[in-house]
Amino acid sequence: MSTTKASSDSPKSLSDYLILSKQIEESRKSDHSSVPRTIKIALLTSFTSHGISEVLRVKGNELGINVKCYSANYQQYAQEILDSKSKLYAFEPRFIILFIDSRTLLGEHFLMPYLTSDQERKKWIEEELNQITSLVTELKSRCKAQILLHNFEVPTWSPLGILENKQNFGIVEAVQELNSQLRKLFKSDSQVFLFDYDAFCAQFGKRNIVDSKMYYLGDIKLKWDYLPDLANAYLAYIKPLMSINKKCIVLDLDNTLWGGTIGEDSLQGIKLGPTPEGRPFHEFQQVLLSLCKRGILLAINSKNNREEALEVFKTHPHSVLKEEHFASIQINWDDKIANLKTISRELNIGFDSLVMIDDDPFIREMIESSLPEVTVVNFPSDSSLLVQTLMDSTDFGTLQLTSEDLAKSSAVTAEKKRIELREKISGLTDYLKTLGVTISIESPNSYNIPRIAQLTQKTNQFNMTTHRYLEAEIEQLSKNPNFLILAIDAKDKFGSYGIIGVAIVEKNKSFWQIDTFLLSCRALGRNIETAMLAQIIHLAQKMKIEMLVAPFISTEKNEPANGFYAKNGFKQDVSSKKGDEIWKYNLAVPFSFPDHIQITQSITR
Amino acid sequence: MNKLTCLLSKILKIDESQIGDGLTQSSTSSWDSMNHLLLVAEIEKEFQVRLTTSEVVGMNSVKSVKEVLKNHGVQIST
Repeated sequence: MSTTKASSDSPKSLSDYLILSKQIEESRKSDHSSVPRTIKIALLTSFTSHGISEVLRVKGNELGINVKCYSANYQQYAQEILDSKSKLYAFEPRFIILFIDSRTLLGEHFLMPYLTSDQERKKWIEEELNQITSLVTELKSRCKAQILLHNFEVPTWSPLGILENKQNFGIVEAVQELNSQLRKLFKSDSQVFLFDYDAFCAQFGKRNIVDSKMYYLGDIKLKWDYLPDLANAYLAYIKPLMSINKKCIVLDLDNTLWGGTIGEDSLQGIKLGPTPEGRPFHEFQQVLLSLCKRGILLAINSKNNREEALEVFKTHPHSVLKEEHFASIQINWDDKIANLKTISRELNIGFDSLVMIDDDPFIREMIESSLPEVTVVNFPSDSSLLVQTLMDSTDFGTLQLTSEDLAKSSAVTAEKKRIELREKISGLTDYLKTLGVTISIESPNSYNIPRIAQLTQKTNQFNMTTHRYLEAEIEQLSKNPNFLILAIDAKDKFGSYGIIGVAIVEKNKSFWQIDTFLLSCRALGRNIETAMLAQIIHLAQKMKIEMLVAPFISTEKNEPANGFYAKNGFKQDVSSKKGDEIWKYNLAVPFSFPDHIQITQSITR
Repeated sequence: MNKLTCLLSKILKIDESQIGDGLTQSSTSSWDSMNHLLLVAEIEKEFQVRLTTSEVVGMNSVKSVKEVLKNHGVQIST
């Protein structure tokens, strides 16, 4: 990952952003060697959208994302959407933002809502809803991009004043109704996300976000000072699309999960619970527990006496977090860098998936310099800001919440038991025998498609090609008869892993080609990947296919996948070069399923 | 170099030595309506003032910018 370092300080105004954006663009032109991951974003707005694309480019660059923007001429967003030959579609965006503002939507109704009857307003809102829906449907039918649809800022003024809520289908109710209908319509649509722009405006204050002078002078509907916040809100959706997401929060204990130090203040003396100084930590723990329950792992990295510190989780009446919520516990007197390395190894996740929260500025600085991939949270000087600091983070976004996410904390407990067993038994074969792995090989269906897409987005290590797919794309591939998609569900005596493996195979007449072959890292070392490969080979042999072609594309992270094909009897195509390899398996050669894995269900054709 | 000249130079992309009272919006191609608004936003931030709509509309030369600022109690050295 490389970012273009800009020469000046952090940008303070829109013109600073414009200059920075230009610099980034220039340096991309001259330096082709270090172009980071690129995302094409199309901006469709109902007003002059000056600055949004430039601020997005700068903010994206900070994350190592190269943002390419296309802004449709304002007021022409509808024509662009409806015309299949428009520049919008020629640009081939991966992400489309549709931002129609309330003033444009309401027109004269904004200031004169009650020149019409209740029925007319109702009819008009229905028409608006239909129009927006048909635009989105049109977009969906013409491209595969992820669509971010703004909802509408609910007006705060009504000529009826305090009687507004007595009015039948008043203007406030009308916009709320429209927002609510939009939410319902796109709730289960994986290609469309509804951006709660009304909440965004409310968060910063509907009065603050408009500068009336700039509105009259330049039709500027969101004050420029808030463009960086808007860009950050957009990036929350873009980060998971670019597979940038944090998986684990690593926590210090003293003055982080509670006030004071357990070693000096003792269990009764630490601040945690219903006092002005104890509540911030109590609520901080509550937010952490909520994140844990939605699939974010928690870990401890603290200098303390282990048993003494764990006593808090066991017996303190106001500790919401318990020992079982932590996927890895490193409480010792070792240095914290070493502990972070242990956590990364134990949980099988990279440093760039870790977020460290520690009150000690010296430790934070040390981590930032020796493990720069780890995100270090800017710890607030006042503990009352702790909760807000965590709430402001957009690092934990995923495009879908799967049953695997929700069951993650129990999966982690099972994993701990597996590690204990692994340490007791010496040989791998004996370990696998005792573990009793059972897999089921499934075809894609509406239950597993979100997870299949998620695995392609999140799996970095055992991933042969690192092709990323959206849910809608997997859905389309699953309907294509030329593609075979396998999803592997696994369990053992300690519990279920859920769906942890995916293979996508393109079926040609004489040969099959593996497009995607991946296994979640927590399921590695159990021969499941070999079973998955065996299944593909057997299906191909049954169809009398001669050759299985398997590309291996090397990335910074997929070293664990390197050598897999060689080990399983594939021969490398001599013309392919190292790192971008083509491997071939002659299907005349038999291939057997690995021992010690039981298959309960498999695909037969 | 005073702050106003810096701002004008940054936004209009003109060398600081070329910026004097005689510089007008109509004779400067980079002084378009977008840059005019950027200039207003920067001036308001830098000098902690709030300009009125008619002041903004009337600010069509460096000289008039200085006059407007003077009316807000901001003294620009020349």
